[in-house]
Amino acid sequence: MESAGITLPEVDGVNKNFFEGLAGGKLLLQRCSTCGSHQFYPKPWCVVCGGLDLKWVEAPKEGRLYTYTLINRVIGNSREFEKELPYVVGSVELDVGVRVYARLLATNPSSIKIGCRVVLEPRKLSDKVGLPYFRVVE
Amino acid sequence: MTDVYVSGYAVIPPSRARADRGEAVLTAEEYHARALSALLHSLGIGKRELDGLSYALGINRTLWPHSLIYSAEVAQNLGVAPKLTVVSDHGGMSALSLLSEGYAFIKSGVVDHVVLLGVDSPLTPSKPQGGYRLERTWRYELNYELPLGMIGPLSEAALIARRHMYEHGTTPEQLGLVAVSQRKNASKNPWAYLKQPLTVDEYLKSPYLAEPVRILDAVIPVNGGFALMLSRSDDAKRFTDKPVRIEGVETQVNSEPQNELRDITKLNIPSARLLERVGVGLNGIDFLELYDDFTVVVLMQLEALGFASEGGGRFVEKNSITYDGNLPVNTGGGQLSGGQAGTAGGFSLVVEAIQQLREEAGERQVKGATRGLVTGLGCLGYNHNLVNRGVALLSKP
Repeated sequence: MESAGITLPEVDGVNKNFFEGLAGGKLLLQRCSTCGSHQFYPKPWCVVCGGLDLKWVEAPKEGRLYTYTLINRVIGNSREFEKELPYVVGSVELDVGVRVYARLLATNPSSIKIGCRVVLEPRKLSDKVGLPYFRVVE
Repeated sequence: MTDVYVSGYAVIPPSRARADRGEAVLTAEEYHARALSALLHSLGIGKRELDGLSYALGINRTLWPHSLIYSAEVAQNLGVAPKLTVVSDHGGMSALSLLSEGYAFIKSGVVDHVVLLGVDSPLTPSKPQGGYRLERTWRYELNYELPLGMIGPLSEAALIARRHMYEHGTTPEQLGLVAVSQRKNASKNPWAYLKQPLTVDEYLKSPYLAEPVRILDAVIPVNGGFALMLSRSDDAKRFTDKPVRIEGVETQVNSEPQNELRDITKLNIPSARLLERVGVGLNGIDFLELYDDFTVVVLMQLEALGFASEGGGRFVEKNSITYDGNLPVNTGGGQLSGGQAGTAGGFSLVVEAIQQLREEAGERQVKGATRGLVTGLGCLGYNHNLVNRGVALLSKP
């Protein structure tokens, strides 16, 4: 795995579909069958109505950047990330009413701005695990 | 029902555990003992007299790993036998949470007194710190933040600060004014860790950790310890002629869970319901001790409390928030300059309010101060800000 050394998620019954979906190029979110709310991160019930019947649905591949940060130093995380410094992490807002934290890719870093359009481009670590990466539409 | 008073307090000065600079290198257990010893000294009693009181003990969960069944271990280490114990897992809200529980215990007559010990020793671990942080953090951080290369609270705060700049036009200079004002306050506080003068220019030259968060936007981690004694009104007079009244405490965990598109720059502190219940307006508050893990969080609280409808950044430009200013904030330097003793950091703000209201704040004394508002905030949530929120009003009797 190319991921050797980075901090990996702990895949469990609640979040398995999310990480597997990204490995297959899709962003899957939980949608409540009772009230129709989408939610993220994955949880064992619907935080709006308490419904237990949650279905995984594919989210739109495009969103807008709600906020972001340029990481300048690795503190309290795997030193493996130092090879990638500096890099941008942000919160991507999807029109189904959720936000997802993601790594942001941009040919021209100055194009990263709040409100800019971003498109899903997951990083595949294995058949079971992908991570949410988005590319800025320039 | 009885009123509840703070009848005594203690501060063990912060340390970065730099033995080469002559600083104290102490474990959390040692801070517990020193804080309790100093508290008993402030109360004018010995340990045997404490043993004869009806009291509860409240402690914070330290950052450093501790046993699952923790409070009984602390009691054994100290040789104390409280009637009941309470442990807070509220991070930065720990002091306010314990204050709230202690207040309720005394109000309800369960005990006559409550001893609160707030200690942490994050810089004196027995194994490298990085490993345990990853083992003990929130699952949402482990699963959805750290694999992206996020760096914990610094990066979470940076997401908030960036959005705050977008929503309110907040500038780096305005964030710098918070750091600079609090440093001026710290310069008059004997137990603040950072006392050397700071200018906005120096702030602007300090390096970014997670842009827009600079090193001077964040707290400086320290080891340290604090202790408080809460007592029923008639008992408080036994220990001091300067009791400080706890007018009320409110806490709230999480907000707007049903709205994932919440504004992360809004920090809904439950201050309105506290002020209404106590019957106090904003103009009845003489100084603020606002939980300050990051500079932007101070601005967000000035907005949330209702002091800065024009935005916290513009407020600190037009007003002075130093101890001698028109709205004194974090009069001892806060955690940004005073130091953050792990999950006990919020105790420094409570203790500073008590010193002000006992008129023991020396050169940084807010003249004529009769009432202070203290906040405690903890747990940086996913797509959120600090989700544990506590607020207390303390006053001269």
